[in-house]
Amino acid sequence: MLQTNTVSAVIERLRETTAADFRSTCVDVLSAQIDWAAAVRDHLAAVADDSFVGGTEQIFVEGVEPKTLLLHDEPGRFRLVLNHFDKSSFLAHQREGRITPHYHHFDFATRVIGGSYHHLLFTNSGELSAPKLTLRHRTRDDAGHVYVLPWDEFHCVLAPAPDTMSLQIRSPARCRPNRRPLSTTAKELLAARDVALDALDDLPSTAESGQVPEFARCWL
Amino acid sequence: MKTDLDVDAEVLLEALNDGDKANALMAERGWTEEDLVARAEALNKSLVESMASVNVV
Repeated sequence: MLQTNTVSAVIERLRETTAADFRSTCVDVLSAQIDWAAAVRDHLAAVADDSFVGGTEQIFVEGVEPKTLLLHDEPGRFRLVLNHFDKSSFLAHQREGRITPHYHHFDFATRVIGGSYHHLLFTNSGELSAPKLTLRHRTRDDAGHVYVLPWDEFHCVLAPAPDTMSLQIRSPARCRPNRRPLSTTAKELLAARDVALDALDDLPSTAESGQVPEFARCWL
Repeated sequence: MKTDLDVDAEVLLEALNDGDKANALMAERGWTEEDLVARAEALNKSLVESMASVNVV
């Protein structure tokens, strides 16, 4: 087995895993005791501009936070994504009412690699298309937290600390997402990448084992 | 999320996650524990009601 100390090693581990073991493998690799900010920064900085822009255009969602920056796409298998919460942008979206409970079109596993946010999970007693939500759990996810979330779980993130960053591993699409044509330009995506690289540089150098919060243990 | 809360959502969430911050906030505002819980419920309600449509990202 490869030692998981770079993003490339994470990719190799994920290539070797089966669909049945995908969640547990994700949590295992994301729990590794390495300097994740440095590992992600090194990988992101090495991705060619054209490749970064082409891949990020496929996943970038306007009008919400975090900004989603593609680190790696393994078509039909998984994607690695850096989530970067820009605090001022988040607050602007929040004032406009765009930060609301939602679900994703993919399962994911994530590790908070810097900062923190408040995370609210909801029980849906209705349908996906007509949800009836009640709060089930509220927690603060801090750097080092590792968790998984199935695609059809409604959740919401609030009050991210400035420059909160998380590394996310996404499953293949489970449904068709709502998407408008992207108006963000390649230049703007590259600028967002450079801001994220600077923010990764500013994170403290730590190498701690991941911790799975209580709320996520039911999905392992 | 638009709310009519009389406290910043981040301040409220931090207090709900930390007993010391909760006590400090209640003392500062002259709230009882019931007052704090009422704000938490108002925040939850505003989040759910702010969903104009189902958001899939």
